[in-house]
Amino acid sequence: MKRAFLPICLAALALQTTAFARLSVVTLPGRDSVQLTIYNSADLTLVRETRYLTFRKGLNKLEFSWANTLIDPTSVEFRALTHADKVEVLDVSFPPRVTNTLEWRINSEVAGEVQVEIRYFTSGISWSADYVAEASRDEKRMDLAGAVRVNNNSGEDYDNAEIRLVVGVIKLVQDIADLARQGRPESQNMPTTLALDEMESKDGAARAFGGMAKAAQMASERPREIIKENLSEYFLYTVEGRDTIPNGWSKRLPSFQASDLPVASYYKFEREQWGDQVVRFYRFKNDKENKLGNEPLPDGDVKAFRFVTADKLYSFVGRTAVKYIPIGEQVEMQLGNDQEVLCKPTLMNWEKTDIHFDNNGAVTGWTIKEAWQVEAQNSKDIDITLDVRRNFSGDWSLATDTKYEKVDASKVKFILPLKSREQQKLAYEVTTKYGTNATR
Amino acid sequence: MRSPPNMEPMQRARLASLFLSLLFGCTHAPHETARQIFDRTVREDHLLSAEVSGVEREKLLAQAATGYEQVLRLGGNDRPLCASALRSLGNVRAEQGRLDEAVKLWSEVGSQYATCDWEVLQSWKSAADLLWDAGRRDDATPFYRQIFERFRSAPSPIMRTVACAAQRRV
Repeated sequence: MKRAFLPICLAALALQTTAFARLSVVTLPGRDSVQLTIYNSADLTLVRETRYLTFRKGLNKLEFSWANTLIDPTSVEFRALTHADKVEVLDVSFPPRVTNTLEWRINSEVAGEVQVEIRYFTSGISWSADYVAEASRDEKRMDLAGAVRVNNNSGEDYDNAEIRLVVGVIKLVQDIADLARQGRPESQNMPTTLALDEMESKDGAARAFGGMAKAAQMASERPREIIKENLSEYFLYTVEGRDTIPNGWSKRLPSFQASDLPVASYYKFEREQWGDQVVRFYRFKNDKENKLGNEPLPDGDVKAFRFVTADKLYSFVGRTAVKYIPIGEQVEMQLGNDQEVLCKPTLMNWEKTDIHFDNNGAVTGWTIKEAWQVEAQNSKDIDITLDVRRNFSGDWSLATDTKYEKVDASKVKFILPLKSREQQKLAYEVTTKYGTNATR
Repeated sequence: MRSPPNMEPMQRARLASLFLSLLFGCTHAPHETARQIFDRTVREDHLLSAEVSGVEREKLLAQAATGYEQVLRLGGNDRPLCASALRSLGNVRAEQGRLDEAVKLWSEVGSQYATCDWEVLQSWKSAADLLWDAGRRDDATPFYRQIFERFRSAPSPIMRTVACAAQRRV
């Protein structure tokens, strides 16, 4: 919903202006700049807008409306960035002729242009990350592109905004979120504004960074990036350049692009986890060695593709969701089943032996021997590695000619390298002792 | 109810609407919640009233008042919404020139919805300023005093600014 009138306007008695008027007041020139810092985990966005206002000497009136928006009016602050010692807010009133509007009464000792900043919290703006992975034909290298999608349902349009995204949940943000929830007039408790200065001090460094981003954007036509900065407790992404995000819209912005990074692809079979399907995984590490590691990766959806021809025709491999990936962490993407890789365990023989009885003739101990054959088939046009996992319970022992590795007390894995179009069989015998036969 | 045969469909719809309104004592669509009525009233009546004048303005203000009264009737346990509606009703009365009624309504926000800080602050400030500007400074002073005493230590700078300004008039 678009707001009924612009959020900020100056009373006609106060200022000269050239903009259009939809009320009996005169609108301000548009925002000089606007910066959105989106704290996703708290549904909270800090909005900082700056404008150049022409003040007259003496009393000036400035109106701010939050009608039909999710702005928290208790968090609204006004301050002069230039002539700060000569511009003072004397009072705030609430004109009855309109609803959800406040009017600052500002005394200025200077006549002329003053740069002012208006800050407030709003909810209704969120962002989410997503990734596109494009694996090479042999699934050994991968291009990874990240993007963020910003959704604006705040009731207000933000034109030409610098957008900053905060990754991670920190106590400060939790506190702010709590305050915001309490302070929102809907819930009628205490206001949020307490936290504004705290947030400002936290992101002081980021402001300079944002300036760099702006300059960089103006300087070149290259694709924009999202600039990332570690602010100790959390991670701040600054979207390079500026974007207009109207109310009711969502906008996808490129975040990063990493090319030719090493990736390990492997296939897993574990009946207890995925039934009779073979599941494909891509694994990579978020570090410098692997051409990443500049920033933690926010949680998000991943769509994976694989180039299947030399001219880069590619096929969809699967989609999954990844959780927040800190720098240095390994990422394992589970991309769903691959029908070109088959794995079929078959019970070839079953035998109950070594039966013991008590004095009354009741069975007290016995041993079961199972002979299994696992048939693995790779119908793909590339070599793969298949990880076959088998689970056992009780007092078990395994006999096989195939190399295996114990994962834990009840699980083993067989790693089978399978060449393209290759079929392999592995056999093992598992002996399980029960009752008095069991030794553990 | 039978409509005269020469009635246009629109007229018939209006008549039916009026009949339902009289029957149920309200003008909102039956499915509308108090929140929806409030939002619609703000958007379609109250805000628009500031952009027109004369008869049209009076009509929109009257419709806004009716809308807020409906919200107060239907709002039930949604105290923040009712507090907003009551304050907004005060705003409408002030715009209609019914100063004492407006002040009474704003005052009731403080007594009936005492925990709704932001609405209470706006109501008391509106009452105080309106009385002050009308030259009724003795009536305005108690409101300013209440604002100062309650909000001078509020965590919100905007609340503290209002409290500070109120102190100057106590």
